Amino acid sequence: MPSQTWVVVGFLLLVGLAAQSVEPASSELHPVEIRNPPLLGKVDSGLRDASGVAIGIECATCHGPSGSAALASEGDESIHGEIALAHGALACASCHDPTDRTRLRLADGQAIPFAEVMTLCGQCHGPVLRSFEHGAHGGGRGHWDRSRGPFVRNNCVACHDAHQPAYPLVSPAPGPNDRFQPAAQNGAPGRHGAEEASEHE
Amino acid sequence: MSDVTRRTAIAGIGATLGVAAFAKVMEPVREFTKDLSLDQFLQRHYRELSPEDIQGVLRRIEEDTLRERGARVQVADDKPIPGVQFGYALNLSVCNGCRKCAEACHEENNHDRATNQSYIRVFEMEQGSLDFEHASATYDHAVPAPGKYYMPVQCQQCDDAPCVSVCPVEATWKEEDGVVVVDYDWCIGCRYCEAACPYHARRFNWTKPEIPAEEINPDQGYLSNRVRPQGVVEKCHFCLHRTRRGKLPACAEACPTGARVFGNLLDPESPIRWVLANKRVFVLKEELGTRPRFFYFFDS
Repeated sequence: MPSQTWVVVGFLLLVGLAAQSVEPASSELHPVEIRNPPLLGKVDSGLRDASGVAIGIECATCHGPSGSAALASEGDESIHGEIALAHGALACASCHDPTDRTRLRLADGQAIPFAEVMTLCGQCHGPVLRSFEHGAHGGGRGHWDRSRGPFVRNNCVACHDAHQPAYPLVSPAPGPNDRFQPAAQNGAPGRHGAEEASEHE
Repeated sequence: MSDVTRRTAIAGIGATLGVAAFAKVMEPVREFTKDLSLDQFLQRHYRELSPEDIQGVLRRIEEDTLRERGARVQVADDKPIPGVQFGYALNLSVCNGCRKCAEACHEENNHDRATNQSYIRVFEMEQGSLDFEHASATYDHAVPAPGKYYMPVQCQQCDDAPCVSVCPVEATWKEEDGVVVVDYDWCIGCRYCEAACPYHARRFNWTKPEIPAEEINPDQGYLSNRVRPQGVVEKCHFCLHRTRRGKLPACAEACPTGARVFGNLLDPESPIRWVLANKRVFVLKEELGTRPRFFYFFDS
């Protein structure tokens, strides 16, 4: 009888241990981190610090409560003439809080920090926000399995320029040079040279 | 007397020619074995190797890479994670054809530099068409071009994979997490699989891949991105040396448009499951019945 009891106790202990070792993996998930661009809510001064990192100017430097600069639709040529608005019919104050330039402002008047820009953009871009919230827009880096590591996501303005949100044209990375797909277009020399490539066309 | 001399002479010439011809015939074999050690020649099929055998093979590959290429690498043998079935989805509405995915694959997976090889081929096609015959994979102009859309194609990790069933030596098979892999040390280079694949997803190493030692990715896997020998077939393996450790594949991390969604099909909370349930999704060449693990979708 005592031996049987020990077997049962041992079995229960084993089950308990197994449950313990499984549980942390499922319950302790690494976070989803949102990557903010380095100059979020700042103006690029065009200067770089000693390590090459862009130096940003806080909006409140000029537009602070005591600042006098206006928040007009036209950019101020002196400091951020590069801000050319090409975002529908929006004006600065559509998104920026005119009374506190360190924050953004929702359509209902609620001020939010720059890091919560997704909420702001989602006011108009609802389907995109829905996709983003389900991990189907915006990409990311790190881990698909958050029991092993974090998933680092982009916020809207990490990829899109809020003032000109249309994705720009880019030069593609070089194409393949393999024997079936010689670089034929634009006379780019393939592995067998441009002449043979044009024969394959 | 003269008859005998003539007979001897002809016999001598015949023997010489015979030896020379035999040497000539055997020449390719000698050249072939130059890069092939006896251990490698006698190595068994991956799935017949004991855990100790595999460790020995991994160490041998590391030593060979150091000796032949001057690169210090770690070759691992990551196994499928129980309860995980990999799936991949790609958003055609946002892909802009920048080929960053192909570039990342090229670097991650130790592809031959001269051919700029990659497991991903990005096709530029007319909007409103899906015609690979009139598509371009070698476009070289600013993207996205007006009127065009872009479709990256890599191994679709089919559940009913034609490439697997045609292999005469079982050098390629489907793993438990859905990834179709190749044992590069078992492949005989017949290229049946390359011909069988409807997605043109397999690549053949016509030459010995050349990569500068400092550019070799040292984080390698036996069934994935270790530097392949000449004369074998290779293919996308969903970066299993990364994904079986919970990480995203290199192409997913490299995509600047966020078009790529990777994850576990068995996890109902995963982004890929949300895509499959909520987006307009299709698979390539569905009519062939290959049942791909790779899905394409649109935003609207």
